Amino acid sequence: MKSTRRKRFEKEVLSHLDRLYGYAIHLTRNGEDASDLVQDTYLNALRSEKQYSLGTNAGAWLFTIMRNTFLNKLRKSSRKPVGMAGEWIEQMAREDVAELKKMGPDPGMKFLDDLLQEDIVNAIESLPDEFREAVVLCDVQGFSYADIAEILEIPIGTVRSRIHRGRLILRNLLAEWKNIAMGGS
Amino acid sequence: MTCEDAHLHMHDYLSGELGAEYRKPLMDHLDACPNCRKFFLQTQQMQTFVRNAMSVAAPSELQSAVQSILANA
Repeated sequence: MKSTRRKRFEKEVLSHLDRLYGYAIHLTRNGEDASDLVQDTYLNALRSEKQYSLGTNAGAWLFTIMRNTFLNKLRKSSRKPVGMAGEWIEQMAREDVAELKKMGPDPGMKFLDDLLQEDIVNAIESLPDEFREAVVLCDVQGFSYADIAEILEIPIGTVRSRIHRGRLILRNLLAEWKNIAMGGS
Repeated sequence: MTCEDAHLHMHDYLSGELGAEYRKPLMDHLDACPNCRKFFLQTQQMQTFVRNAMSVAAPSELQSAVQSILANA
């Protein structure tokens, strides 16, 4: 017979299954590996159940476990994550401010209308890890800066900066792709 | 508010993190500055597209596997 605490624990952790799967796809970039990672995450969460206080932040707790589980697997398999941002990325973020100053006054609501969902996923996937993770945790998963800082184990100021710059880079990538798709130079 | 300040604040706004005291000054700036308003609307549209494109549901086999892990623990 399960205890009341146990039943509540299961309910709280199960409610994050879809989000965890989305994050796992994002980390592993592969549906099969993502399913394995989700199951490993739940097994590790069960092992650490006593560290979790019911009714607190199950989402951030589970995402932290998932990320650590993924990084441990990565270390063991000696597979390397995608590289960190280079100078070109920094340049792209800086160019955005220059571009803004040249913009005309139209409302700009059709910015992404001609892009496909696949283009957007590809653009996200092409971001360097540090920006991609922060943008996904904020804009897809809806975590606060404080939660993202906990999950990624970085200061809140760094989270904020990575989200801002990640969005700028993503925006420029999509604008460039759209320009190519529309036959522009 | 300068355009550079507006940029910083609009990202925080889109993240749901902008303090209440900055919201009105930001909205006033966006009303008055077409370039910043365009940038804001585009970034907001991109955020919605990204959220929709990246949101997935766990496959039913995975749901069953996770329920089984929890049930057998």
